Amino acid sequence: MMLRALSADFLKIRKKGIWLLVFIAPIGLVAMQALNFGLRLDYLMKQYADDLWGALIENVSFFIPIALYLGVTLVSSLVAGVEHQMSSWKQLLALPISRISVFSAKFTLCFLLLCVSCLLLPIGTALLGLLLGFGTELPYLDLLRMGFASFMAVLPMLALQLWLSLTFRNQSLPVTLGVGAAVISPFALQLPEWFPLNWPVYAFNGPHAWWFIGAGIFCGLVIMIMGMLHFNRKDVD
Amino acid sequence: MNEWIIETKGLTKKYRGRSAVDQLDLNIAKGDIYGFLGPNGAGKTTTIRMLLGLIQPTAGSISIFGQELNKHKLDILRRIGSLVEYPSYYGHLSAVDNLEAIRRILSVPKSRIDEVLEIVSLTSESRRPVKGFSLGMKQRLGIAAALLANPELLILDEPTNGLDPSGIHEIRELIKSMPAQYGITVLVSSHLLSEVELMAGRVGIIREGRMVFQDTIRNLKEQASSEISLVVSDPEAALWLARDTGLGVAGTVKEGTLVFPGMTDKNVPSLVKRLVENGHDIYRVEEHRKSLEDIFMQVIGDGDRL
Repeated sequence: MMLRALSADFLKIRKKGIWLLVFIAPIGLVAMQALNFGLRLDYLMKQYADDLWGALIENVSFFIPIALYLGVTLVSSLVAGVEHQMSSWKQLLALPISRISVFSAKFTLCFLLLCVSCLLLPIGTALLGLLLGFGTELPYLDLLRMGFASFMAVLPMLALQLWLSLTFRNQSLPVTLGVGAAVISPFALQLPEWFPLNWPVYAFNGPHAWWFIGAGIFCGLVIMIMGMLHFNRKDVD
Repeated sequence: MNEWIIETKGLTKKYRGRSAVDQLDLNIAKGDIYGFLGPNGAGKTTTIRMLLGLIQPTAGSISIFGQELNKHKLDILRRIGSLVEYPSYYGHLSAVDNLEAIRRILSVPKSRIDEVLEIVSLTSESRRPVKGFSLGMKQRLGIAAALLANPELLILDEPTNGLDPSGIHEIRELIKSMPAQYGITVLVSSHLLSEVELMAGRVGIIREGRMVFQDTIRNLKEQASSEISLVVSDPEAALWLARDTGLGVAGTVKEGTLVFPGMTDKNVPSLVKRLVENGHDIYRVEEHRKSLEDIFMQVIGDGDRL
């Protein structure tokens, strides 16, 4: 059931600019570092001589939380917008498919789209490192962690954003909230590490990163189920 | 005797204490075209949304194909095609892709897409993005989507709203062909009686959320009181004579014309014969029947209205 809805969803997001966003975001992050390292390669090579790869990953990862907050917000809003735009909900939900399946399919769709971005980012970073001549001893694990650890910690935000985007026809509330979170997140580092906006940072380079990854997955699931239950009962206008 | 495809009992939906639909008992027979009538805001769309499980009733029960809707929702929806109010579509996709998105959920064979496009005559436009379609074409695409799963019941909410006369005609012919060609029962809502009159067998009229009339179109027409008017040479004398016939007809003279409200068919020739025998010249005998639209206005206009 859910897979059928998912395959329909993949068809619906064609030509909507969602795929473009999914590709542009990681390429943009890598391009920023290409500029950073390209402009002052000699200086940075000297400064980070003992761990060139580590320095590159750290520099990229600095922007990942903001990118994730924006990505999560935009992807959920665009995915929900496909149905809101011509009020297709009444048609979709009058089909013989459970609302649980419809909601799960939307969540899975957003998750998979963001996974593509999160996979492209380490690939792009690796290519940049190779291009800059950092050697062929790639830190595969760190690259993968860079891509996915923070993403896991931002899952509660994805569940919340998707819930809000699907619930409200007017997307200004979820988008404001998401952009707000992205803008505030660097300053939230002043706050204790358990503050949810800090999870993506500590899930990548904290002393006990697994706690934040675990908390992200757990809370993400809880919020997703809450959203699903609400979606299952709500009236469709 | 009749097998009801849709049967609701005491169906009620309240929004903040105000009843949008109030104690509605809907009965729709198999193979019928049921016209669901009422002015805008009477609760037609709310009722239809409840029938499709889009909104939860506050009270009452819905049974479709003899099954409770809230217990067998997916089984029931599998056998229904629907079009609710203005068309839903994905504007950036072509007609074929729009149907494909729905087909993937229904898992019916791909060939069905061409078949339904053929039925609504959109085959030649099927590759264009739907946002460039006219309203009539979008509405036909909506009907194609509703037909995709080979439904036994078609629920169409205001399918001709906003269409031009030729579009209305096309959709009407399409709907009329459904029971005969495909054995589909149709529930079609509208705020125009004239439109439903031409296709429906039974009608339900609702006003302010309550059912005020539910019966065949024929019986609705019979509610229309007719009157016979006669233009004769000497109306006053003819009226006296008519009262004297023993036919029990009570008439009046209006502007030199004899008017007999609610006269039966049998009484007309008797009266005419009597008048002729008594030397009256009869110039015209006419029947005036209230139009269905008048009855409709009377039915929906009853009671307190602002």
